[in-house]
Amino acid sequence: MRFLSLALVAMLSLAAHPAAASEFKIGSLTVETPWSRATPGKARSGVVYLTISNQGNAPDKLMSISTSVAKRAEIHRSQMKDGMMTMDSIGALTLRPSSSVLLRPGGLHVMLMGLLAPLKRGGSFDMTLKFEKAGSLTVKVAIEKIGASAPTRPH
Amino acid sequence: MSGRKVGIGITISVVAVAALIGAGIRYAVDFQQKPAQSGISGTVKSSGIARIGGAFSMADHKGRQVTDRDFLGKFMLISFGYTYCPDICPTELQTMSEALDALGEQADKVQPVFATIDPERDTAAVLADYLSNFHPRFMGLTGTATQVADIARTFGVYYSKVKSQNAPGQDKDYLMNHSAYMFLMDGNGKFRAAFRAGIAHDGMVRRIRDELAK
Ligand SMILES: [Cu+2]
Repeated sequence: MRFLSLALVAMLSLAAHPAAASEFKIGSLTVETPWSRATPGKARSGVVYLTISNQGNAPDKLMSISTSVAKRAEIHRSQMKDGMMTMDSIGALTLRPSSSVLLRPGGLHVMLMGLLAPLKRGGSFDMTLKFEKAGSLTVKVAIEKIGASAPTRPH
Repeated sequence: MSGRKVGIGITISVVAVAALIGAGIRYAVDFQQKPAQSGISGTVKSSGIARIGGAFSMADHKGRQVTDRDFLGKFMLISFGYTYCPDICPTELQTMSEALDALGEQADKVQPVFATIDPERDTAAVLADYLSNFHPRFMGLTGTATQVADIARTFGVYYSKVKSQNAPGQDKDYLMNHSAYMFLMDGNGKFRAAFRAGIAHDGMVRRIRDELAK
């Protein structure tokens, strides 16, 4: 019986995530498919995209982010202002109950500032997300090619 | 001139005027010491329709001197940005690369160009390395601060260094704000279309096909 239910769960999760996306959970929060882009030459800023879902009944907040590959990590939003593309740090990110926040190219992203070494395609690194209520969660970020618009490799 | 072209001209000029106002404010707030960094003046004609394109002189990613005349005879798809830009610029170059792939044989009629607005860090060698990640026919343009300001003004592109919170004046990790449009110019160097950052490549492909057929 136990085996059956495990198999069922496995099948269900397989159906929900056909690309075998990487998934990290803490409390009622799920962080899906964290990925980054390789960085060129001596560029000292990088970017991370991911999806955070809050399946709980209460809101939470992403307070801060840290990683050993960069001096600082901030939550940014790229947006058009007066015809110019700007990136602004938005501080904490509110996670409403029963909803998901998408960080993807051209909008919300985690900005890595002061990269200590170039990010190489095919590699990965750890990044720790600190939530107000759920606590700290370390996720593995996969590095895709420069300019990638979505994660491609199965993890 | 067709109605559509006029429409685009007006759209661009509205954006340029709004930007001029916005940039003026930012200019006062952000970079008192660096007026030469912003390519904002002279982008709007008295008629109210911005003129996109014109004469420029730059170096390509192989260090060769080139001018606008070297691009005549082919369409040019040009975007402005900087290689240290992690979010928007690589997305644009990827979209342009995908558009060229989707154009098939017609892609030969279009020269993809990436012009830097950050010549301080984007040397020819840096551009060459960066562009090797995108369509193989991409050409990079860089130059002196003045040359870059000139080409930016020619295309109605404006940009500014973002002041660092950490070490003003000596931070090599600075970011740039900049116009994020891709421009399609024809073989006579005339403006045909502008694409916003974030456009999907298929919309771009349709428009380029239309313009090539005219
Ligand atoms: Cu950013």
